[in-house]
Amino acid sequence: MAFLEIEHIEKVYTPRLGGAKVRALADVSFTLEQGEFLAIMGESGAGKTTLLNILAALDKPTGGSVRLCGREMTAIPEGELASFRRDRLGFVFQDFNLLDTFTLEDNIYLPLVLQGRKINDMRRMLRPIAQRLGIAEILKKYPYEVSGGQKQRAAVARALITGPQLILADEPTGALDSKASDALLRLLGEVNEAGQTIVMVTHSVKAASHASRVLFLRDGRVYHQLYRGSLTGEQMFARISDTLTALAGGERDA
Amino acid sequence: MRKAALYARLAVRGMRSSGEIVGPFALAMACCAAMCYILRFLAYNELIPAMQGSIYVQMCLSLGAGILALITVWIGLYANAFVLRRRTKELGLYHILGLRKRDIACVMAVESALLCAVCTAAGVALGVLLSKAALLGLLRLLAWNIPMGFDFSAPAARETAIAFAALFAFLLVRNLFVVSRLSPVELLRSADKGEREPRTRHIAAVLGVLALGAGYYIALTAENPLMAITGFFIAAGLVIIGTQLLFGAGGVALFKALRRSERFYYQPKHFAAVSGMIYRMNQNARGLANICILLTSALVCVSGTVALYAGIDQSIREMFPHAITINRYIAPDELDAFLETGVGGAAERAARDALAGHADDVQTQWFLSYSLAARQAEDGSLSLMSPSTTDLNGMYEIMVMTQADYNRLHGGSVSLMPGEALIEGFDAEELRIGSLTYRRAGGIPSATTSNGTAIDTLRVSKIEMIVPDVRDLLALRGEVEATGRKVVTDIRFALNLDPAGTTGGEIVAMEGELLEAARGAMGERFSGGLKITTAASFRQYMIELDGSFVFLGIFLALLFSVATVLLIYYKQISEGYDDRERFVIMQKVGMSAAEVRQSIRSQVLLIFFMPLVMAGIHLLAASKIIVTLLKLLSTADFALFAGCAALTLALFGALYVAVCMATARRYYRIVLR
Ligand SMILES: Nc1ncnc2c1ncn2[C@@H]1O[C@H](COP(=O)(O)OP(=O)(O)OP(=O)(O)O)[C@@H](O)[C@H]1O
Ligand SMILES: [Mg+2]
Repeated sequence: MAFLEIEHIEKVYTPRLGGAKVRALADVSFTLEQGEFLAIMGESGAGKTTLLNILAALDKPTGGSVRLCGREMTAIPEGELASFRRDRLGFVFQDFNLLDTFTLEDNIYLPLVLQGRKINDMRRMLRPIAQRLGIAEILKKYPYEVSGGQKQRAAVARALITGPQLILADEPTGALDSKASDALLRLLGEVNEAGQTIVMVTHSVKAASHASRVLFLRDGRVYHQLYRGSLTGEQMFARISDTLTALAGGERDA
Repeated sequence: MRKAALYARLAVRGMRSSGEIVGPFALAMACCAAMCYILRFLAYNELIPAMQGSIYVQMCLSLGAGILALITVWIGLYANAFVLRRRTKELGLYHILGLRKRDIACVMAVESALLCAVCTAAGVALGVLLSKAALLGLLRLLAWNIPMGFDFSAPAARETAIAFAALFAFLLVRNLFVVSRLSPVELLRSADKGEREPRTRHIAAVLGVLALGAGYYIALTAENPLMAITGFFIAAGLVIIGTQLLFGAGGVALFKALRRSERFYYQPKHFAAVSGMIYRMNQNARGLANICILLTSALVCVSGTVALYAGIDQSIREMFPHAITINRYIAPDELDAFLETGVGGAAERAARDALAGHADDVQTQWFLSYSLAARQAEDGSLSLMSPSTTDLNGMYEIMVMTQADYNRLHGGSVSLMPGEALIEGFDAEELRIGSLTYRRAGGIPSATTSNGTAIDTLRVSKIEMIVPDVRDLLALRGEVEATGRKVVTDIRFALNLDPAGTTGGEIVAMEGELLEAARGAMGERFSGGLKITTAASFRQYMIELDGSFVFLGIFLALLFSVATVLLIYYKQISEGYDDRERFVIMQKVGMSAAEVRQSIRSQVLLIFFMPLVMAGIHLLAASKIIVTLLKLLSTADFALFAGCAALTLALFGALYVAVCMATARRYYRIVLR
């Protein structure tokens, strides 16, 4: 049984005050196995964030079904979903979603606090990950006092600190320089090797080339999938670039 | 013309879309307008001036009008600023979309006009509905007969409309001023201006504690009713300042301390609440301090005035031991004639005869007495008081009568030597007043027949004396005269009558007849200056006075409650909007809806328990000075006031919690939608 089974999901946004409906996802199907590292690519507005939100059960699809370990997502009660997000899911949001009233440290503790952990445990868990992400020195600062890249790394730390089964990362390298991106991608690779499943949305070919599979979204559909198989990093990079070129070309034809 | 339609459309759309905050503002203003109408309605009501004692009602009505105006303007300013803050973004959008500032000003003017019209109309309508109830309530309190019928007061409505038009015009000018100084970018941003974490303000905290301590000290040490009036206002001012300072500084310090306590802070239900509150304490503090002050004011108004009203009968019993007293002051040159003609006894017989037809039985007594106030000096002697003194320390009221009157009234056989006196209430061997000295020959076997006097209520110590002769009364009067004061009290002739089986109303009705009877018996020489007082008519006087106060107290408490509810509501809404994003994020990270609810409940409790507890403490601290003040008007004791205060506190506390819980729903809805 696959970890996540997505079958023909559709998402139509209906604006509250009338206006045109937006079909963010038309028909998306794929399955995700435990321990996979999936990258999702696609143009801005292709529906990537929408898809992640549905995977995290933050949003409901307007059609199709999502099964988590064989269970229909819509059938899971709200309280259980909350504990799923709390205990088994780490989400790096595109806009970080850090709380301005907390220091970075307290922001990172948030899921641990919700789990009811002791402060000493939390400290012990934070130290290595903050070191790896290079934010150990700024933990006492507030989000409005640090740069975008630093915020992004804090958001990553918050998603990873609970050691979740599933990590959803929405452009986690978007605000990072190449050195920090490399460090983060290495970290994600290690985490994945340790058995955690990762779904990462990215615009960066380089970031996507770290994944074991790349899924291309276009017009709310899965346009193409690339499996890494036994390809090297460079070969993967070239294949992704080609696919993206084809994707852009296809649009011109349409 | 097309433009006018556009303005109107934008104004209506704007107000509809922010109905959540404009609505309560309009409702509060409508309530104020209703109260304004009712006050003016009562002031114009022709029933009130027709009744005696209307002067107190009028006094209370104008006092109420003053405070109403003050609070209404304050509510207006506060709520208006709140609405404006929430709406600047929308106005900024209009600006970006191409409306000039002039157009925006026009939109705002149309909005103000609409809002003003709606509030005034609704307020007057509500006022008309409630005014009859208010009139009936007032008349009942004053124990007047209640006429039926219904009326509408056009001048009251007109004045209300004018006052509110002026208020809204003033608010509009302020808003225009505020908006004109903002740049478009600021207009867009000001709704979500992030505040930094506030620092703990130690100086403010210390000043707050000092102000509060000083206020409490004044309130708790107030002994002298005459000084208590100024003391009360000084203490109230200090407590208001102290409360304002303490809520900000104390709140930040409290929540920071909570955050430092890691065991408490890192718990799901406290984590979000505490951090959010530190952050917003500065903006919260003013609102919370205001809630606390309004609540305290309402509590003081209601408990004080109700205690006054409830204590009327007790006061009357103490101040008027006799149902009817006919009295006259006898000048020194009249004294011989008074005694020789025996007019005292004649008046007693005449009054008894006049009453005989109306009462089952009549107790009567008449006597001469002399009263003076003196202060104990260091050597133990009593020095006569200057009339303007307000210091009641060591003060005595001395009531003197002759042994002849005493023996006649009590069937005693007291026989004193010159220079001797029976003295009660002063234990020294000798009593010296000015240049006179009396040797204490013993106490007074049976109680004299003191008439309660106004000074009674001030609880000064009392001395009663029986002296050998009426010449001693004259001598004492001479001592008072020797102090050089302009007005010297004369010897008082008093005739006390206690009919059995007559009602207060009957007694009041007989006042004239009795006075005529006494006049007739006392002859032409003594009938001038003869006065009659009855406990029953004084009771009506007190009911009118205290009833007016109760009405005012309840009226003000209602007004303060309107303001408090509005403050609480806005607090919840702004909390909700400020917290919304935080709770949305928390839910994304795994907080369940139940945990959100719990967290909000914990936050609402933490925030709103503070003003209530503080108001309770303020009331406790104020109780002493309030009781002291009440003694100016009644013989109220602490137990009576404590009972009224406890009842009021329980009532308001319950209402307060209910309002907080009801408005907390708004909060959930904002956060969870
Ligand atoms: N809450 C919403 N209400 C209405 N429409 C929405 C909403 N969220 C997204 N959309 C629309 O759905 C489409 C997909 O949005 P989505 O955020 O998933 O794109 P994306 O692939 O994440 O883009 P980007 O790379 O820019 O982040 C867009 O056209 C967007 O306008
Ligand atoms: Mg996106």
